[in-house]
Amino acid sequence: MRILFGDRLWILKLAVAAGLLAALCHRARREFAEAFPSYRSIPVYFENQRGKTFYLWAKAVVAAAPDGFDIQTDVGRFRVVSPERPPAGERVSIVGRATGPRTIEAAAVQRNEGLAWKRPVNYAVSIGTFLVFLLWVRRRFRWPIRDGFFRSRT
Amino acid sequence: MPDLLTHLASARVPGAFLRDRRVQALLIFGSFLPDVVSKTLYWAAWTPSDFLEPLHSPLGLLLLSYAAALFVEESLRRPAFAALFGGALLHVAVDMLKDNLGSGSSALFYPFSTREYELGWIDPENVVLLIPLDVAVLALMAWLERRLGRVPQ
Repeated sequence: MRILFGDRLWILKLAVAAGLLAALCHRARREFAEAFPSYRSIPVYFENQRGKTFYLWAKAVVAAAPDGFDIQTDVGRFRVVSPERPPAGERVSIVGRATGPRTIEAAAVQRNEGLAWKRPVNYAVSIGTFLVFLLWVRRRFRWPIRDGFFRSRT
Repeated sequence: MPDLLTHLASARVPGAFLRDRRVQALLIFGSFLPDVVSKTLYWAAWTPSDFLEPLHSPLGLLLLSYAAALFVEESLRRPAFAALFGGALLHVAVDMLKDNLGSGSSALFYPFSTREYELGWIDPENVVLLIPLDVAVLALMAWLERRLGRVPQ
């Protein structure tokens, strides 16, 4: 434990921890992209993506359809086959299977009511909380630049 | 992500029972750590979200907490690591309350599995509605600290 938490070879330990974390993240990028492919690949590689499950977050409903509704995404419109009928303009999140190059059969639809104000409020509260925390914690720690460490004041 | 006020409130509950204010502050910082690091990389460096998945998984947070603890003075480093890692795990537990339609918020067993887990209790966007509850919890914890004479050193 003393080896792990001592000052000796401090920079080497930091480099090893950062390197292992970077390697883990690099591996995750490949594995999660395979396990959870993006809906953006459906129109281009439909035959490979047929039947796979996709998650689409907070997409705008643009029109009703006889078998569901249409949503707008950054790669164009998709038809969502669903018994749900959210009104045009509403934001919805969807989990569903790709059944056509631009068709998704929804397993679940979540209406994201009030997304336009809830998301900014979430970020504003989070940033405000973090800044207040930094001011509060400043009284407990100082930053001697020459040491490159945080040091407590007590 | 639930807002950081919700994470602050959740970390203040165990934090209220810590006497050392420095460790208490590190526990709270640990509960911010997954979002502070992943959102900074996502927004500032345009890092793909798949790359950031380990920052909400226990093994990734273990490495991140250890790296962060190295910036704390040697005498405090071991409790600092425990507080940072404990706070980060608390963050993951709170994130798991969200309902992402079964797609989950945390790959608990990554790198052994990419399966993501959630309890699905609250719409992710509705976490802002918890703000009054967060404020109440923070006030209650501050009152409890004083009442029980647990005002940390």
